[in-house]
Amino acid sequence: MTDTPDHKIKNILITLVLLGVVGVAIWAALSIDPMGDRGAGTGRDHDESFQKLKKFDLALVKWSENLPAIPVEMDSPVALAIFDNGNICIGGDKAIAILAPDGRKIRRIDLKFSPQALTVSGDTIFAAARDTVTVLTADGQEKAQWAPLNNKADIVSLAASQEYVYVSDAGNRVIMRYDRKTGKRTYKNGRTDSGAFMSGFNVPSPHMDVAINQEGELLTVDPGRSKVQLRDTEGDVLKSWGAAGSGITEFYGCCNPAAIAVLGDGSIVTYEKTLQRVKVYSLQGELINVVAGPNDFTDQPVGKFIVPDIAVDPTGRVLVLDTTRKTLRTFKRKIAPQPTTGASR
Amino acid sequence: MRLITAGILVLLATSTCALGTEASKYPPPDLGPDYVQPPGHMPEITHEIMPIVDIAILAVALVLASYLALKQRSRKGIWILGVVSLIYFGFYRQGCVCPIGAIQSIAEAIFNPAAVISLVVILFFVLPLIFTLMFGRTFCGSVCPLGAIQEVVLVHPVRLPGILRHALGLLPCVYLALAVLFAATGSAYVICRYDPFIALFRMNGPAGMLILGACFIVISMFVGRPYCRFLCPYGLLLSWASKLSWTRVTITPNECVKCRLCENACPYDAISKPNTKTLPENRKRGVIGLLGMMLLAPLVIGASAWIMVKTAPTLAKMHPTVRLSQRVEREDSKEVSDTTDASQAFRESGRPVEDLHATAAEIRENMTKGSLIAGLFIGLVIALRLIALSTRRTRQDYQADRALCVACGRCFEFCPVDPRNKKPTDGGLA
Amino acid sequence: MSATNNKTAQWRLASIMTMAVAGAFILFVVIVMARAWKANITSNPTDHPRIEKLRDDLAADSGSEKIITELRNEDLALRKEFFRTWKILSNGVWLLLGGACVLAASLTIAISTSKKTPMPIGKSKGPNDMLAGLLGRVGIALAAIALTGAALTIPILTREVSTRAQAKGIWPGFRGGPEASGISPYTDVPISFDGITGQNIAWKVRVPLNGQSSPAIWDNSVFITGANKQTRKVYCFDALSGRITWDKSITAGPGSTKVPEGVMEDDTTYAAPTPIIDVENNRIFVMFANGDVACLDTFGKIIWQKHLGTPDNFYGHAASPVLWKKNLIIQLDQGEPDDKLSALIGLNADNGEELWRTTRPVGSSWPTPIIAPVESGDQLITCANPFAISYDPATGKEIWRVDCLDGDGGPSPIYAAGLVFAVNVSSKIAAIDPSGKGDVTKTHVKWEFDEDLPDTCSPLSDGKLLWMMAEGEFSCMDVATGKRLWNKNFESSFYASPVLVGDRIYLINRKGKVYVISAGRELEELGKADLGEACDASPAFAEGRMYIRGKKHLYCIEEQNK
Repeated sequence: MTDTPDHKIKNILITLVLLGVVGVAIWAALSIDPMGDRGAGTGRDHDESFQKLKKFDLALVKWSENLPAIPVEMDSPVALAIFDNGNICIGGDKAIAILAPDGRKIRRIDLKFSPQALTVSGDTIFAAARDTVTVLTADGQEKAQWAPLNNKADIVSLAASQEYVYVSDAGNRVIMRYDRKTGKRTYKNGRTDSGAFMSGFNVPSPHMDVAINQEGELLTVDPGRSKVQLRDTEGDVLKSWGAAGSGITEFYGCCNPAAIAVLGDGSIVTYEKTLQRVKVYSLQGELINVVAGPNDFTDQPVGKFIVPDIAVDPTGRVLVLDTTRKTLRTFKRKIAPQPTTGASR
Repeated sequence: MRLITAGILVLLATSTCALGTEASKYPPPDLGPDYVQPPGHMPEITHEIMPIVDIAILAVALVLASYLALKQRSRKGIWILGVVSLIYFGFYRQGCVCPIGAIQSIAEAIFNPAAVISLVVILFFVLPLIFTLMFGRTFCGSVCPLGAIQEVVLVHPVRLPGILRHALGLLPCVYLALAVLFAATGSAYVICRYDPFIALFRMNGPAGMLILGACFIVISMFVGRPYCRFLCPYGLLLSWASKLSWTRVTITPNECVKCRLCENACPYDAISKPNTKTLPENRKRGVIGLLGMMLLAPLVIGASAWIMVKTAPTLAKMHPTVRLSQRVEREDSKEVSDTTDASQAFRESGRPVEDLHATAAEIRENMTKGSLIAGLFIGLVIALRLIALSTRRTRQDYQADRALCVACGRCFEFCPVDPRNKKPTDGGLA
Repeated sequence: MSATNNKTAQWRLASIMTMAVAGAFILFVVIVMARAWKANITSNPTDHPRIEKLRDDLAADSGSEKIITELRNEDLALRKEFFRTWKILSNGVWLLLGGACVLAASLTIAISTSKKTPMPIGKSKGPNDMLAGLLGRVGIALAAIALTGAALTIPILTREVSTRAQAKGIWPGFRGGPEASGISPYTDVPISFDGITGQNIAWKVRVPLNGQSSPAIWDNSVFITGANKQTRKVYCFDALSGRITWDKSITAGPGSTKVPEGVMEDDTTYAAPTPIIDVENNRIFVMFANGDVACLDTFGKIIWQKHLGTPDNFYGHAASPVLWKKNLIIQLDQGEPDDKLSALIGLNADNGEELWRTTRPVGSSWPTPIIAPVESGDQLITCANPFAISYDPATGKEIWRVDCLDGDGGPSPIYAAGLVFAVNVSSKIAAIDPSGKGDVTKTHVKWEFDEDLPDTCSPLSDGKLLWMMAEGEFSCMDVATGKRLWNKNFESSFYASPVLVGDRIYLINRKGKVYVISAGRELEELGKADLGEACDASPAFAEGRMYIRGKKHLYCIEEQNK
């Protein structure tokens, strides 16, 4: 390289350019936000829009909570069932609490397991741990314990008819049918093969309710598809309805309705988690009215929470086990319902 | 190979099937009654074959690069292959997967048992290394799109002073250590985050990355391959492989005639001059220097490890969980009055704060352990370099430096020696 | 030979010309893209100032079809502009790439045509390996030093120290919290300030929605409420900058949308109750004239909200909620005494569930109840025509009552020197000994006084003296005897209650004029200040700061020449 003045100037110029560019490059590298720490600023908007979803036509609310909520003295109440005489049965915390219809404490049955699901029929209580169903008398005597399910099992709901007990297992995404008296599993149409009584459910999170109506027909929820299904005693679908959506006639978000119960006239009460709504539907899936809306409940935390259970008592009240407030909420029809002709009881 | 290919195909087919059912599994998010959901569409399945095509093209390109550099000795061929690689791996495949980034996936797969790594990534990492062990850094010369873009824009090479070259030459080792450390602790893939050319390949990206890319292009016009020489962590691995390589590019196809024509041919300072005529004046001084460096080595390694361990708490901030934990702590102590998206989301998840802090503490501990290893590694590299610089090897003629040569072939056209003749021609210095 | 040279020269010329054209083209594209980029950034509709302004307008006057239309049009125009410039940018990138390719190609040709064959001159010196090795080691040493330096300084640079000074101080609610004494524990507050010239004004910000509620302060956060007929909002301002950290709309229940009748929009407003802070549990509680009560955390997340029914209050509900332990107590007086609508309601602060409810024998009222730390235990003191009634804040059970009030009054009671002071405009001020039970009208009233009584401003006492502001007439009395020591007419109207700051009393009239007088047995005027804007809300205090809500703006007053 010859060191003519021309070359010198050129080299100095290039050096200056390089220094400048290196400076800019360092600044640019520091300005990169590789982790997105500066955020997208979407948090508030989501919250706002969730608040908007809570709105619906309030004229649809035909029920009121005219009794104060009954405090549930449990850390994590999970299951609710009602005796024929109206006594209330609440499961959770390795115990079952039995309350009178007015909330008075009657007795507490301590258990070796924490019940995840409950149902009562006559004066028999069926309580389920994660994988085992236990049969108890109304005063807490253990009558039988059925053979446990496999280790994937997660029993989330029970329903008892005169003959059978239906066990909803969200872990295996199946519903099994047990002979009430022998505690043996029974299969579809008298078959004796192994396998589930009913399967094919879409269960993204652990709740999948099952109920029985006055006709002995089975009501199941396919939560992943936002469907309520009416089935005959052999589990064949007679009707299926429900659509996902935020509209008041629809079931909001993922895995709803989270719980169902049957009213005396055969109409179905549904409970939705997250955007908490309790609604009454006809058997055909038409929305009849609304029991309670999102503003009647405390917002559930986004992460883990116990999904409330609902039940209907013999006087036609809708009971909601509010697991966020840890109370039992009672809703009563505002005006007496029209006498129904179809009721079989 | 066929077995592997079949395996990959089956794997891809099942994964796409899984994807298909996943999409219909949950109802779409509800954005209110006025919002009409756009129809969903599945990514095209044909796309999934691309990684296999990439591997095949990578292998072919490596073979071709080695052939062009070692056998054909065609600078033009190497240049064209470079441009093709730039277009394919760079602009068409948008710079991903690349062997440089694969370092991180490999590191994470080694240190984190839960991490999954695909065969494609492993092959991308291993193939260039194998070729380098056989033929030298032909991958850098004409297959790597990052190398190619710097090669193409180099118009007016200036020579950097040796002191600066050696100083900057330390960066790849630090970069490699940090990249592996961050990947192994699950903190971040920094190589990808700060890849200067990816934004150009994609013609999209945050302003900072685009500006960084533009700066690298401008620097590359005057300084040969700044990224390859002073940053690329994979280049460091390849330079070690190249030192051990079975064969490599030579400046002359035959015997060097020491005509000096190639003296200034290499913009990457990879040509070493013969030193037979300039023997060191004082052998004793050389020996003392070497001994000094050897004694210094443990000190350097120790100091480097100590510094890295000291820096570990800062490095841990690269992990999102650690940052979130610190942010939540600041919010809880009322040091700040607002929340970030991350802290808001965390609070809404209902997860206990203690849980978060415990996880963060665990990550910090891992980071400290990793930093110790990274520090030892950096110290070792520095010590070895110091020792290497204190020794002297005799070179009879003009040679391409085994570690630094990227097989670009620029020096070929300067060499007057005819490859067809056994005997050196009489030319050059007449 | 010359033919080749000629050809080379032609190539060279052509490539240089191409380079010039390509360069000019690139420059042009860059300029166009830079302009488009700027336009693209400024036309982002999500945070455009015009949109923000329209949003504020809409919040202030919700449902206005005109504003909605305007908002839609503005949004559409901005969106169009945004995507137009976006398109220019994305096309520009390709043009730029094309230009760069041409430039690079012509540059390569220009260089290759001007390349000279290297011709080493002179004798080769041969490499100086010793020197090169030395320089290399020095280079590595320098790099190591630089890296060490970076490793040691980066932790310092990235340390998340609070670069901002911390604002400190807690003022949990109306007149300083559940006791609502109007006495500030923070005395380092300037005497003179001016909202128009900006003297000693740290910041002044518009509160988007109107309201009479006072600010509640917690270190860096200033909470305040605002509402109109349709919208109710809680705002959290950053105490240091005055920026809105978050705001939250409250619609607590099905009845929330019903507009309460009779609310004086410019007087009582739809947001008269002051928020109250639960420092221990990170909660703030707010209430609005429509009967909505809400609990939020300090980050603006609604923990619970409840609609208590639309109050039938002919000026609008004004009493602030009071917090006692886990009970959020609401004095919801409404209708006429015979309607039996009025009640004291205890809500569970954790979830808003009703714990107890005590029916009150009074009609609509406006004073905020206070917690009096009486020796025998805390009492909740309420005032409403005609009774001052004390309740047990745990259960809502009545403890005592005194029949001493008359008229539609707003002054809250105070508790000082072991006495409860209840006052209302068309009756008297009564000093009540709170140790009694049942109706203690005849037995426990220590003294009474019936001149110049306030109709809005609450009284103030330091335990020895007692001050009252009645329609401009400010009087000072002896607590022990009930004798008036002095009085002065300020000849203007006052809504904001007087506050005691050390040995000074601040009085703010409805026009925003501030009088500072000494809190002594003799009247001494210490200074005057001017907010520069109408003001009806009582001030709030924190370390070195005073916060005043004017009609439209929130002011942070702080000594600026420290």
